[in-house]
Amino acid sequence: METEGNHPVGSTTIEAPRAPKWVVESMERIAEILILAEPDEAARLDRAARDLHKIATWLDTHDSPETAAGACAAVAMLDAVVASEAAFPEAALDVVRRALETLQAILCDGRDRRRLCFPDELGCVDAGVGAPLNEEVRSEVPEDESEDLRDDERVRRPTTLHAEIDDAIFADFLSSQGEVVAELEELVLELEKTADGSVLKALRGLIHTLKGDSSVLGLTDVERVCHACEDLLDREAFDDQTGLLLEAKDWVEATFAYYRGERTTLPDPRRLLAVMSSVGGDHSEAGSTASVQRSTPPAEAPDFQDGAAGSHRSGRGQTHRTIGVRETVKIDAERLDRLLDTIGELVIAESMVCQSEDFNPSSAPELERRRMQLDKITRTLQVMSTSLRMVPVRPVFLKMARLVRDLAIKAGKEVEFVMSGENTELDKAVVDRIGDPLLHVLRNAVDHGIEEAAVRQAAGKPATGRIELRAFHRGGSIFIEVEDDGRGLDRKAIVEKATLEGLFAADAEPMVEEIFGCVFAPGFSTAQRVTDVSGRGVGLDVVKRAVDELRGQINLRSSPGEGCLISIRLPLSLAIIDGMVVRAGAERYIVPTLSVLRFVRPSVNDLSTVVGRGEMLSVEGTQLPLYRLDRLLDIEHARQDPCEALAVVVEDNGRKAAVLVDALVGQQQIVIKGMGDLVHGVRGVAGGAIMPDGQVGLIADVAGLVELAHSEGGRGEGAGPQPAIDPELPNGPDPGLRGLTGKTAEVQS
Amino acid sequence: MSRQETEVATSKAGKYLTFELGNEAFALEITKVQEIIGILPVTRVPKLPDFVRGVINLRGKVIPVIDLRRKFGFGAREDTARTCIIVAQINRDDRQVITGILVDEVCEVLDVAADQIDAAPDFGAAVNTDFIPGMGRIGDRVVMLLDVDRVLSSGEVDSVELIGTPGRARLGDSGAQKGVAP
Repeated sequence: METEGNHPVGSTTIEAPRAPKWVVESMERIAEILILAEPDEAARLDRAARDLHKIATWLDTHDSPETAAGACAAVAMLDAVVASEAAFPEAALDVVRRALETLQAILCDGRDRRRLCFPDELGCVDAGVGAPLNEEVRSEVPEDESEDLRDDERVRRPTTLHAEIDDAIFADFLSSQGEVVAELEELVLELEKTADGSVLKALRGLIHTLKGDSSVLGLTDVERVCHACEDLLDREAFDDQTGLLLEAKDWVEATFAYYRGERTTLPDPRRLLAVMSSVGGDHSEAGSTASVQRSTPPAEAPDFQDGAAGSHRSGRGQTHRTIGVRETVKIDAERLDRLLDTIGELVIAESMVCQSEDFNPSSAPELERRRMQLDKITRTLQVMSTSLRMVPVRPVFLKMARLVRDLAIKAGKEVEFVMSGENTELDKAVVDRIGDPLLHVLRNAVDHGIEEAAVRQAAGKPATGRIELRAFHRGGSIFIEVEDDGRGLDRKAIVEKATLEGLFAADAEPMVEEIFGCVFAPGFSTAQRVTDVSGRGVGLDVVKRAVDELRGQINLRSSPGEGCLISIRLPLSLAIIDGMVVRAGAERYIVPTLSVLRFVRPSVNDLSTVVGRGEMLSVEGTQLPLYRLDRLLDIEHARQDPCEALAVVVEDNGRKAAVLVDALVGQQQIVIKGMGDLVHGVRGVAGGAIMPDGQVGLIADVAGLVELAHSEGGRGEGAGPQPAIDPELPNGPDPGLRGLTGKTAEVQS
Repeated sequence: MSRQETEVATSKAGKYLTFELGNEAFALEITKVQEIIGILPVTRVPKLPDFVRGVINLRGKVIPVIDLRRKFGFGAREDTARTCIIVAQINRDDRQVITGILVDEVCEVLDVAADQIDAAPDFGAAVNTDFIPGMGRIGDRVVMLLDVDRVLSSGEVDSVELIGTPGRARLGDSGAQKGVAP
């Protein structure tokens, strides 16, 4: 870095402000304070530091990292002055003044930033300013590190890191902290709801472990923040306790993100520490941190550390070893996928061998025994492989909990957030990508769904709104649902808007599903159009698109005044599933076992027709619509007499239906294969699978089939002849399949 | 030959795999061809246009098979021992899609020089020659150089996808299925 000689002095005339007005103004105010203030006017300088911090934050997102880093460094130095830690406050203040001039030159005058440099001294606060903060300050001056950071280095190494900790260990530590931070957040949110002692205890334990780990590594700032959190927990509960804890968690998260190279600036802990200790001072033992003087809190923080670090270091080292270390191996995702693919191939190959006609179990009992063993191993391998990529949806849910809390506070609404099923496991890729759509949905629910408390009470609802986030398995899919008890969708307004947009004919009487479908239509639900009218629908097309990309479905139910339920249905996206192979005509299809409730051989008495068109099948007293696979999928030469055929009772989305097929061929494990763009998106077909004979079998998409049947309505019946139910065969031979649920069936062909 | 045509000819010169449909000879750039396999059992996929024969298992991958006879309106014919599937890499929306192309018979690999290539004659609206950028004169034969990317261009494929959609598409569903990675 060059010396300050390059930067022009007195260039504060503002010609074409490139920064927003507030930045310019606040920079002028800071400059004024800095010029007038003496180093011992802590209160004024502190205000300047805070303003500067705000600007630094803005710079972080809106300007170059260098500028932001420079501003951060200036804040750090100013803080040192405020905290009376600087050995030569005058000199330090001067450095800050010069840094500010540079910032003004860059931001306000739009000067060529390559020729402008921050004062040298800024980069090495300890050299210019002095003693006590040595370690910390250096770690807080990002400029220092971003310079040191080589491009090929993934992890930023803080200067305070102990020498014996090598980069790999530090990287491992950082990668494991994501979960810790998430857990921290969860516990804090939990704490907010309940006064349960066990939550507090768990939280203490977690923070203590983190503190210990940080101390072992030499992350003094993290340690200090953790310590302050512990102090906070020791005090009696007060209003913004959880808010502060969350802020602390955010800070820790941002710090780790910086070290991981995901952020350009290192967040400054001073303000946070100051607030945390000053808050406590109001409430508890006056002796400890009572001083209202801004200068004290940061000053005493190192004292905590100096006192604590030495005595605790050894003890916490053990904590680190016993609790912090997990038996994990990090694997390249691509290698993992290749492993899963290969296991998939193995499963196919195994069943090809075992089901080959040349293989005769009765003539070779020894071989049969070996085969069974092989089968068992393959299955175990397969079960393991499917679980490898599965992770609980919990981290996403926790983020949402925080989001709802923050949004509700911002909107001034009271919202109770309930979540369930957060341990439901999903493919990691799905978990990674479900966050954004969920965020949209929840934001909608808080912003537009839940009414103001007064409105709610007027409507006879409890003042506190309720938003529920659920995840669960059903029928071979995973559902994630968001339900609120807010005002619901305004159907009339949607219909009006949709008619205006030409989505409905003027005289159409759209079905409820069609009305709600509009909300997901691209371009329909932009803020100006629907939000003002119906109060809902911002970005729902984005949600729809994201869910589509995950091969999922999204459904919406809503009653005016009673709230809204958005249900996202996602495929398990497992490579391998259990399937029932059914035959219709000369074709075979695989029905995912999870979608199958049971198989029924229809008898004449169970069959009926509605209005001479739709066929119904009575199963245990329930009337189910009966669809014919051959008609849905244009299959030729399938059996037409239901009594000779087999009905597969399937469930989709709570809707049950019976699908008529010729026969059940068998049960087997299948590996889902994408079928490529060309045949993607065929209703009723979820994908392909390699069958034991080497041919491709198609996987029936039960949801799609039911939809197909619905949309074709009577048309299918009109096309085909009315089923001729043969009176000669009133009850057909019962294959013993009745009452057999799909999940336990061991069916031979 | 106009300058533009010369350019077409020059850019089209190279090695081609020739094959037959009915009595006509076609040629496919060899760089597009991944392999040639004999006819396999093809699994029909419902709701697709008839020129999509179905899908096959190519060593663990499921790929679609296009029946070029039907696509070009030659009429159906029983498969013979000579019926082949040319496995080709087709560019579609900047992505490579592996597709099987069912042809009557694969002939040979030919070098086609620029001076052997003529622009495709314009038959007007009656015959769609979009996917035939040129004709090669090889000795006394004429082979149609096929732009396989165009044969299954986006428009075609989208129509394939839409056929799977029932009569009245649900609102909000439009475009949802299209362009979504499998």
